[in-house]
Amino acid sequence: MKFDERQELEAIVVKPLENRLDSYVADEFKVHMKNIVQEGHLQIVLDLSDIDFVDSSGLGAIIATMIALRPQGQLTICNAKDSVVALFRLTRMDRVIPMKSDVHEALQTMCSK
Amino acid sequence: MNRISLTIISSLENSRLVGLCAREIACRTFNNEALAEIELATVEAVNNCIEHACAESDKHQITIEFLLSEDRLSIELIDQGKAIEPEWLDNLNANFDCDDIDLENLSEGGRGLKIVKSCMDEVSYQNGNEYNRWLLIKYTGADKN
Repeated sequence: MKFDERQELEAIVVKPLENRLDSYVADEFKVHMKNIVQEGHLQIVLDLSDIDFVDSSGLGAIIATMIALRPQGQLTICNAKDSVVALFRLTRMDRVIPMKSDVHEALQTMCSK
Repeated sequence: MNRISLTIISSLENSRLVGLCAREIACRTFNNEALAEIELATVEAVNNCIEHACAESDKHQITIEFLLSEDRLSIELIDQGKAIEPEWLDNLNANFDCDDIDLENLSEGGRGLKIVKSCMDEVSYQNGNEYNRWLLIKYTGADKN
């Protein structure tokens, strides 16, 4: 699984370069994200603009990242497509993980706190 | 009436192929929102077979039968793995909590079957004669609510 990563203000923006975040790649995604947290990045923007499909395993890997960032850190999602937003709403995870329309809005929200 | 049958080995790589197949079979009958639900429910059901019935071993086979008729898409999954534990079936009658999300004890998993139930109109499970059978139904014109 490939990622694009860049530092923006106090946050790291992580963009998976895949179109599916599912059970086949969820473990790899989770390990990669936990490594980023262990490197000391506590503000993470997850840019899902390339992702067309997320299943419960992919969702679980995102939740694992959010848990790994506690208590000081924060995860914000941006650029999620309609089908991905629908999964977050269905499972109520949109109430747990902030979802913003783009990277700029995600950074504004995180860095203003 | 269109009937298509697929048999896969129980590898997680294959669940995405089955999901895409379900979407293609349904694409001329359902709208985009329903297609996304069908793909997601199919992937979750196949994942459930692989992870629980087949214990993540890639030595099992899973047969998936799609039947598209005028009023419904039926998806049947058949495997010879371990029968599902009765308590897991409680997920088919559970809803996602609206108000009581416990942030301190938020689990990474356990949402698959609830998602299947939420995305399809009918979901049933039978075990007998060494086979597990899941039946997922989505009606073409029915309002599931």
